[in-house]
Amino acid sequence: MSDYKTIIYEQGLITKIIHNEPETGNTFNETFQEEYVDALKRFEWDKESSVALITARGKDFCTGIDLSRYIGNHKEAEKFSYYTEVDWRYEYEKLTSIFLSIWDCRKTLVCAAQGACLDIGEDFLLAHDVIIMAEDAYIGAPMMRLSKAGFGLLGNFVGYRIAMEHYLTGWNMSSSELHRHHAINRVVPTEKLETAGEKYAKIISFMPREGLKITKNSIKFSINRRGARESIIYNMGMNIDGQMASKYQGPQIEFYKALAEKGVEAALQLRDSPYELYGYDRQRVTEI
Amino acid sequence: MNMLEYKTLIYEPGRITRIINNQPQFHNKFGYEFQDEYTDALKRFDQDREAVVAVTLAVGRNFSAGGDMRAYSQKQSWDFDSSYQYTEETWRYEQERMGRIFNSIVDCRKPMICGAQGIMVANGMFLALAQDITIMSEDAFVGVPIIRVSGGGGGLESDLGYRYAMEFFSTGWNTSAQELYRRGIINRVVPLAKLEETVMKYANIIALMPSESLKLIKNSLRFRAYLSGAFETNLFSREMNLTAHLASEAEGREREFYKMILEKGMRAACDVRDKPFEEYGFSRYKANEIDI
Repeated sequence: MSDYKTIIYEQGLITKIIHNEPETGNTFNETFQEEYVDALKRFEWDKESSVALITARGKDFCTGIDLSRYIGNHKEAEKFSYYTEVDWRYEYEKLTSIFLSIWDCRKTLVCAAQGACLDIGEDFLLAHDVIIMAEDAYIGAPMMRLSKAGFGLLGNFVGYRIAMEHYLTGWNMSSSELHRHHAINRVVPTEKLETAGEKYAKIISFMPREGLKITKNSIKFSINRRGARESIIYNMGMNIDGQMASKYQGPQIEFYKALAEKGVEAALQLRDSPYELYGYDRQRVTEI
Repeated sequence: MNMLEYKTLIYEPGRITRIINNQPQFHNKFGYEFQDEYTDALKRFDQDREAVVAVTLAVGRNFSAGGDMRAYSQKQSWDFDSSYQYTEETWRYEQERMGRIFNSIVDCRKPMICGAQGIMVANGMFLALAQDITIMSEDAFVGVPIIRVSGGGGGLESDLGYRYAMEFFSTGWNTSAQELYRRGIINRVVPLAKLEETVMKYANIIALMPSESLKLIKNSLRFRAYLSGAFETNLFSREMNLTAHLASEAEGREREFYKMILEKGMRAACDVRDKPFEEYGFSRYKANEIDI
């Protein structure tokens, strides 16, 4: 695959992979998923490449799944009420294999993120090795309010209770708070994000190429020994269970119905308005 | 056990179930009666189909002053000339009992929030830090000074980090709510007057979430903790506690301590226990740093 539609691939000692769908908030759509996995494979087997720098154009790094496909599309929106365990398993097996291909990549992946990194976009960000975030950047898991969804990667990088709060409330968490918990490497002013990402990638590219792979291997061994990789696989099962349970709980079906009939804003309002009473704002980071 | 029979706690069922330790006159000690009732209340909450999230609070100045030490001292003669009543078997019974209650907390399938104030010592601390979300008031602190007498401690390495856990358990020093927050171990520190209100806000927000998803989220994060050895570490810590109690027989320190509680009272015994550490800045009534 070389004619990418959603990403820009710039091969080199530092390979740049740029998500280029700013007009849609760089959603984690199916085309992007396929192209990103392909680009990663290409980078990994390119003997000239040492490190990859992953960025996204526009205001937000990744706003999660592509909700626009459901607008006016009743049939698509209703699928959640008749999806069987087998259908969900197909969806989540696919997503799991994408996350494992990022997690298992032998070479170093540096990621520079701005704006919103939501739901699966949050997991996507946290799956990388070195993470620089802009001052305006934040993660959030508001789709948890509809059903258990996502791979829970935050749990690898912050304490148990902090991860519990994040997922049990779906609240946003700022880049500076992530830095305070040692979950990311650096927070920089938004206008310096690209330069900071490039600087980190440049320094890493000075290192011996095979040494880098072996260093990553050793650190991954340690984090995987503590269950990080197993958790990705276990979360696949939990997500399937969550989706099956959500059929009987209502909010998810109501959400997609509103999405089909009234559009994104109305659906998000339906999902978030009870939480707004306690100070939640999906556009920024607020405290409870 | 019927909830009307609870003597040490107040159980308020509901979508947000409230379990309140109601022994302020004993600083909410972690005695046998409370252990049994709290375990029973948790089981009731876990199996109540209407209940989504549990809140644990305590009435009075302190969240929990730890084990019921006076009960130990009355049971044991602690006489140099008589044989010990606390054999390996008795200590094992104690540890197994403790194991059952902590397992029932960590294995509870639904989310649990805790609001804690004042002193949390030994098992009182473990009670607060076994919960899923912990909010503390500004005056709150945790500590395990009893480890100076006996006990193996441990079990919190994954929370505290290796070197801090070593410092904490090797000195018996207190740690403030602010320091726990700085280390990412608890979720929030608030003024004492706002503790209950804050905890209820968290509970209200969590109660808005789909109940089955909440259980799955918890399941997923617990799975990771267990793969890191959290469950086995607890089991192992209790074995270490048992070993430490038996080892302390040879040193005589534990025997002296409980004998003094019986003869001169709790304050005198704690004074003797803590005096050497006070020279370095320790106070059992607050969290302060080791004097440098």
